[in-house]
Amino acid sequence: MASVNRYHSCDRYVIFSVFAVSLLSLSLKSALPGQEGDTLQSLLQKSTAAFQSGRYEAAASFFEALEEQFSEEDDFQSESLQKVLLPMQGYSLLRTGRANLAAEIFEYFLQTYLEKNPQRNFAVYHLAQACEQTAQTEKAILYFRQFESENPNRPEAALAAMRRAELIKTSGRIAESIGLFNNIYSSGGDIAVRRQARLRALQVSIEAGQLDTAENILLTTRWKIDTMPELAALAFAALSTGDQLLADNRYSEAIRCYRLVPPKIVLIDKQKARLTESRSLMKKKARLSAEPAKTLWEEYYSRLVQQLETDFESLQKSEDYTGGFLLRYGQSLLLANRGEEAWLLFQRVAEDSGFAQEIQTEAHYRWMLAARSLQMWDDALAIAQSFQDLYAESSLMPEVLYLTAEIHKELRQFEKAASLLGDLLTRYPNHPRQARWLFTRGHCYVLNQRYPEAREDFNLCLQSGPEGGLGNEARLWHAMSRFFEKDYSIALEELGALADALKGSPLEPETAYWRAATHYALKNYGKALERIDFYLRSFPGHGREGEASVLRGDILMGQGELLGAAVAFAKVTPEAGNLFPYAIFQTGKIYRAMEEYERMADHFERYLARTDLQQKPRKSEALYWTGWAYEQMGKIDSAHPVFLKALDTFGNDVEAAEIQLILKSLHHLHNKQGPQQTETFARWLREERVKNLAEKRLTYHSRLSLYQANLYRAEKRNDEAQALMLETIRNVPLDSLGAEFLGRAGLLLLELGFPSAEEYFTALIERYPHRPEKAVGYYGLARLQSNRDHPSLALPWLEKLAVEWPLHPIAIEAALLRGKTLVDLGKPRLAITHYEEVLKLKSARGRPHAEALEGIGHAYRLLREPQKAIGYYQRIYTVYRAYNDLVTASYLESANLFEELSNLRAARDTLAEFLDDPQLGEPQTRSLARREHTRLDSILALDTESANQSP
Amino acid sequence: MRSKSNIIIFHRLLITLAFCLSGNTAFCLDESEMNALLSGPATAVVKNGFTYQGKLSRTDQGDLRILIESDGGEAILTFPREEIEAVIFPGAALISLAEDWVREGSLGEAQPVLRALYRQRRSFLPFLTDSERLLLSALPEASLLNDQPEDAIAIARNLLPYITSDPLREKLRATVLLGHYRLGLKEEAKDLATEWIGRQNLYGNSALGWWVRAKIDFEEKNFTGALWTSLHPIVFSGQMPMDYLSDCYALAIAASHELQKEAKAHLLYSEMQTRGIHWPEEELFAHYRLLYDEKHLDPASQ
Repeated sequence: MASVNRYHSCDRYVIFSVFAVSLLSLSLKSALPGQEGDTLQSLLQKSTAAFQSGRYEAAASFFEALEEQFSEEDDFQSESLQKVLLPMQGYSLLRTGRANLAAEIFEYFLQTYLEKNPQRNFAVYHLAQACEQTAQTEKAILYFRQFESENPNRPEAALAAMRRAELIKTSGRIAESIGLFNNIYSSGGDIAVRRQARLRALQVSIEAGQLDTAENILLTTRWKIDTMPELAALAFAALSTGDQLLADNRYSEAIRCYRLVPPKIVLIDKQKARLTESRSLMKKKARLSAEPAKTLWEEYYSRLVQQLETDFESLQKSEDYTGGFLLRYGQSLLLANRGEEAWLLFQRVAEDSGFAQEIQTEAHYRWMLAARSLQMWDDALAIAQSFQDLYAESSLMPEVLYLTAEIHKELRQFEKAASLLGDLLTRYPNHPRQARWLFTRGHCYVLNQRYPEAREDFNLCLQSGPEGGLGNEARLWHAMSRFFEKDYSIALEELGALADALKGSPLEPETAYWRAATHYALKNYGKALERIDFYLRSFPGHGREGEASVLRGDILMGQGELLGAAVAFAKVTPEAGNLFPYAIFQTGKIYRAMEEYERMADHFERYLARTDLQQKPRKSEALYWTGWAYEQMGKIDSAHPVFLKALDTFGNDVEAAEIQLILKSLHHLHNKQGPQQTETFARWLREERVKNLAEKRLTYHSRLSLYQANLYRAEKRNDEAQALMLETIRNVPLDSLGAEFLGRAGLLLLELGFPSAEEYFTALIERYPHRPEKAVGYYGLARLQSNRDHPSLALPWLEKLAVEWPLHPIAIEAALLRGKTLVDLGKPRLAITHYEEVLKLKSARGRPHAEALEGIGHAYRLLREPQKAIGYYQRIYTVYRAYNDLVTASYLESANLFEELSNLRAARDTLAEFLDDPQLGEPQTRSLARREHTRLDSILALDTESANQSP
Repeated sequence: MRSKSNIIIFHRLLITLAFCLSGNTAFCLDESEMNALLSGPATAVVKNGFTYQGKLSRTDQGDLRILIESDGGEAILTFPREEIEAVIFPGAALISLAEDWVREGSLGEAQPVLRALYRQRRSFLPFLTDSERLLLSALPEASLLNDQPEDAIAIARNLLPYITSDPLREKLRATVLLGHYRLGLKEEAKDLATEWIGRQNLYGNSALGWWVRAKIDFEEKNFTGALWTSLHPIVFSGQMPMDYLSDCYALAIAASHELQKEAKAHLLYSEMQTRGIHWPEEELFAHYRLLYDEKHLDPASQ
């Protein structure tokens, strides 16, 4: 590292040129002869010339000769000569390495001549230097201090102070030394010296491991250093302090330090510039200076240039710190939540081929981390892909693949994530992060409702001896998977066992929360309340506090403690995010259950009137419930304007929900007032539709049309409903359509075989990611893919639907389609498991159950298990006779299967049973069945005959 | 024929003397007076040692043509570029005056003189000395300061082929870029800014290109683009001052605010203060400063 201790090479000639001038101007009484013919005067002239031209060896010899030859002479002994001669002699000895002798001469001089003058200052300063060179540190410190106090306003005082600070540091008094350097910095002297002092304070602090002091110096100084070697000194000090701060997790401070570090190339350029400048100055001085100063400058610059050349060379040869430093700077940005800046930095390094590949690779990986921190998932995936393309053999590949899986998980692409993790587990069987990968895959399975597979992974994770808290996490998720699977008793058991093991661990509050939630799910409201109160009491400020307050409200609701529940919900603050509107609407529900309609209306009106909320979601719903409450109170006059206001305010707001419900309520309100009002509503609906179309309030127009189409459908006027929908699709651009219309339009277009259906489903998914109607989008896209014979492309949409919107009305149809898709994918056994899940759903009773039975029958048929298949078909025509088409198909399939089993009698009887019910089947089907029945009957008759004839 | 060096010295002395005798400076000179001072015959010094005085022009091939009047007649001499040692134009005193102003940074005052000198010499740029070109290269920036971006662009582009110093070329290109932005030629400015950015090293001493691109994005309400672009120089800035860095900070803060990233805006504003970077004067951003300046936010300080 380049040193900054060059200040002592200051222009010393300013200090002592006075001696030379004085000496030459001395008037000697006589020209005394000396050795080899030298007179005192000629020898004095020679020594002066040698001294002036910096030939100190020669000067010292002349001074010695003078003493030897003329020490007895009065002229030589004269005070005026000695006052000048002694300091020069001392200095010459000092410069020629005879510091002891120099110190003696300076000390003698100072003791002998006490008046204050430039010679004395000179002697004090150089005596201090002589003492320093002869290891008399304390003495040197004293003399430098003496120089400073006797010359407080001279620029050299700062130099003396600098030397003193260095000596104090050498003697081990670090704090004193740093204090002195800082004092020099705070003084009003030359800015260059002050900056050097500040730099030395910084360097000494770092060397002494006083990082707080170093940090303070670094961060409270406006450096503005642009020249070498100071720039290098600052860079290295800032780099080491920044590294320490990063290690101490003090990212913002580390960033401030790293900002003081230029890349190595800048240091090289600056050094090159200084070298060029010094070379040119050397030439200039040589050209302009007259002898003997010319020689002096030549010497000075040639030494300086030589030093600069050496420094330049070693700087060039030194290891380039830039890449590593930029990575650490970027990491500080990333950890300080400055993702954009981290991205820019890592991208720049990753794409700069000037850096070593290892640095580029690392930067590329961290660039992906930055994208992930910003939740820019698509970009993160693209960066990961380019990493895989560029650095397939990199040791960071497992990390990149793992991160990719994590991103798929964030995108709720759980199957993709799990599959990627599966690859990772296979490709790197001995990787130390196997346990983490297993855990994450288990987590993906949980999120994708594949609970048994999830538990298998959590168990494997536990078997592989995970480090840190991962084992506890695996155990907790194992228990939670039971919860999600509605296996509450086992979940409770596992959580209970965990609670003791996790005492004091970060997962303790989480476990406590889930225990309460599990009790609630088991309808153990008393226990649940006890547990949630324990959680709220024991872990204030924990991440699930908001959820816990909501859960407490729900528990109290379960207990029928409606007012208590309302109080609990009232404790949920807007800071709880989405839970806040949930609590608002739950409170509304409580008032509804208590038939406290006035309070209910008041509650929602107060919510709507709040001005302190940055976001007020579900406003249209709140208006709907306000109107509804008025309606219940029989205050039709109050309800009516609330509904109209809701429609007027939110009807054309593409984001607003519940508009159909509000229309329905308004319609209901009119219906209640008699047929005349019903007609009024119908007229109003027609006129509003036309008016809003003319006024280009197209969103509202589409919603009114949808309501009208629903009315047509309810009246079995399906053609009119369809025509109105198609007309609206034509009139209203995609962007102006709300979520509900997009879904319905998509499904209609799908039924009609229009490829544009895809645009509607896609728009629905993209524009309304948090609305339940999104489920229709998923279902629609899955059906499109299924229709195109792409079951593998259909399945992910259905999986997403099942995870995200399991309770959406379309989820049952989607579940049936999922069964069919699994069959199409050649996984009939998985399909059966899936259909059986549908059969467990109460909400799927009726036709969906019948379709699930049919699906299972079909799957068993494919599995060549006809007896099992027949069992399911029989359940259809036994239990679900209302579904003519399904019953018909089941009879025919059963008959076929019986025949496959060579049970011709059962086959024939099945067909007979079918034919016995005249309501079943189309004529063509019936005629086919009849033919089959006849055929089987004749075979059986022949068989009977043969049997009778046999002996 | 006189010797080459004598002629040059003599000519310069004559012009300076004439200027000094006029007892005037360019402070009092109007455009016509300056033109008068700059008009008159020029002197071409040829490498073979001869000098010729007359009216200069250029051939289509770029050679120097001198119209010499003598004995009631005219003669035209043509010299290829490589044969010309120097061309001496009248008005050398104006050059010293302009140099003084440029050195002092008084570009606004220097501009009329520089423009007059440029008009006199613009057809003979290949024949000018480096110091003459250096002086004239201050004119584009001066024109920009005097709100004449069209002139700035045209002059900078004319000078660029004859400037060999990299920093000076960069300065002219920066003027061209700023000129386009000031003229509202956003697409061209964006392209030029992209080129500018492409020429920069890590940790340069200016953020001009980033600023222009981010500013245009901001004006077009592309706040995301504005944020990302303006952050770049912020990341790669060090302890030394960087031109347009404060403007980039202001843009990044404004864009963050528009993107509802108030925390980021606060962080950047506070960083700006910690680093001693002053808020730019541009009126467009004054509103954002009020939003994030703690002094304004703290009711106690009001």
